[in-house]
Amino acid sequence: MSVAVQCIDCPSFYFPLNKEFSKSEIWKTTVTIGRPIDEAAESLLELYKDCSEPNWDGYGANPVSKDSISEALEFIQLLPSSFPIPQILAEPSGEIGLEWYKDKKMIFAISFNGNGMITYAGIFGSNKIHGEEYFGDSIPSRIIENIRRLYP
Amino acid sequence: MNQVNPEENLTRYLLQKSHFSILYKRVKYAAFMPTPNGETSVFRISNLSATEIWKIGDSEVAQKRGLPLLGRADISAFKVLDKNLKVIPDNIPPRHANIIGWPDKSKQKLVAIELADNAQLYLR
Repeated sequence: MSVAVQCIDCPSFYFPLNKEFSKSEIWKTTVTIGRPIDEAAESLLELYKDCSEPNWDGYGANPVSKDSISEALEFIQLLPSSFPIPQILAEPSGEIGLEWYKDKKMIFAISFNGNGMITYAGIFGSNKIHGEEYFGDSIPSRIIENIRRLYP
Repeated sequence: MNQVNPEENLTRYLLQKSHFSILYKRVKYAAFMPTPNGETSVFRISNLSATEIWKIGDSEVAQKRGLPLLGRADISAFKVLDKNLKVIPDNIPPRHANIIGWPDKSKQKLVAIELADNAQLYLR
C-alpha cells in the first residue's frame, strides 16, 4: 500500500517542497509503510521534530537542520539493499548521525552537516579509522567499503 | 571537590532518546559528543548510591532543563583520561565536571564511539 508520509508538526517537510529540498526532492515521493527505508524516513522526521530547536538535548546542542535531514535520507535511499538500515541519531553539533553497530568492536558511524560533507569514524576489531568524504550524487566508495567491513 | 582521579566514576545523564538503544542496552556515541562549545557535561558519582545518582540527575539536570531524565551512561574517569581528554571539575552544581580537550571533528566521533563502548547504560 502506498501512502504519503507527512510530519504533522512540521508540515513544511512534505508540501510545499521548498528550495532547501530541491537537491533530491526526496520528500515529495510517496512511500510504502513497513519497508525499512520508510521507517527510517519516519525516524528522521521524528528526530527533526524533537531536535530542530536549539538546546534540544538540554546541554546547548545546535538545532538539526533540514539540510542534514535531507542528506541523511538521500544517503539511506542510495544505500545498497544488501546493507541494513542504520540507527539514526542526532549529534549535539546539529548533524544527523547514522550508526551501524554489530558489536563493541565492529561499529561504523557517519554524520551529515547539510553542506555535502560526510564525517565518518569506525572500529573494526583492532583497526580504527576516521575521516571526511564529500557526498555528491552517489555514496563515496570509502563509505561503502567500511560498511561492507561490517556486512561482507 | 579536587582534581578528578582516574579511579573515579562519572556519569552522563541522558535526555535524548536517540542517544541510547533500549534493544541492545547500550549507549550511542552521540551521548558523549561535546556541545558546540567543546564540552561534555558529566557528574562525579563515586561513593554515591543509585538513588543519590538519580536524584542529582533529576534535580540538577532534568528539572533545570525541563526535559525528562531517560537514563544515564556511567563510565570510569580512566577511560576518559585514557583518550587524552581532560575532566575539569567546576562544582557548579556540586559534583559537576566537563570533559574537554576534544580533538578535531572526525577523530572526535571515533573517541566518542570508544567512550560509548566503555560506558554502562542505566535506564530510568
